[in-house]
Amino acid sequence: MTFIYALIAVALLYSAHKATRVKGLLNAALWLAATSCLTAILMYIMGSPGIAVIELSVGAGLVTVLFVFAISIIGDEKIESKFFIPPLAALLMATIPFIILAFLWISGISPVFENTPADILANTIWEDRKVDLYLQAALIITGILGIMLLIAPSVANRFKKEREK
Amino acid sequence: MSYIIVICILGLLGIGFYCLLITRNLLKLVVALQVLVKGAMLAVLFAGCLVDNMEVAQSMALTIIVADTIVAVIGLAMAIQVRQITNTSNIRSISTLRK
Repeated sequence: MTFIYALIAVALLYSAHKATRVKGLLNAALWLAATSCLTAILMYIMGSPGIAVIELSVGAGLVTVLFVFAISIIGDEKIESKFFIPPLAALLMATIPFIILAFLWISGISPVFENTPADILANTIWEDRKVDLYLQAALIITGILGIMLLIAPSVANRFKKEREK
Repeated sequence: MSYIIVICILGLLGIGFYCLLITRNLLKLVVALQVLVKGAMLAVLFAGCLVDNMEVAQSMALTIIVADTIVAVIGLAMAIQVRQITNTSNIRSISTLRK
């Protein structure tokens, strides 16, 4: 069983790497969808089937469709400008947190978690974490406005006209 | 099992953060953010597993999924608008939007 987990982990990291480094935005979107699928499988294994299903439908479905839609509008482009941060420095900056984590692990300093008993998921969502629900509603409304911005060419046109003046 | 998940979390966070630092394409920036958030989401669920409090962790993961999707939508919308105004997806072009 551990072999299967290791296989999923390797596939997940490989697809995440490909999503960020592959040439072509469409390929990146497809690799990102694969990353979402594998994340959903990992979530299922960890005992969260509900969240896994939502991640699969939203992460691999909705977000991929949005990406393909956006790519079809603006197309792919090869960018030749210089890096903001040299790749070696970026690699170092991305590695430093893990070095600190490894140091803490070796030193035996680990966080202490407090175990608080929780209710079933439905009660937790609808009663204990009601603020989260309001936040999600606000975010969804923001998302709808974002979609409108996504398909509205008038914003860019108005901006262009103002610049020309 | 735990070690495998920890490696996945750290790997996703590292890959996402590295790509966020070196990428210059606005759409690729959104991809990097997505990868980064997936690592954070797995970390939240793993923390829930550790303290045997999966319900709260799942509730938080749900909020993260919603927020992540909205970030992607807004990011893509901004990328499209910037591309239509400046004719490039380079993140340096954002600074030229200033009047």
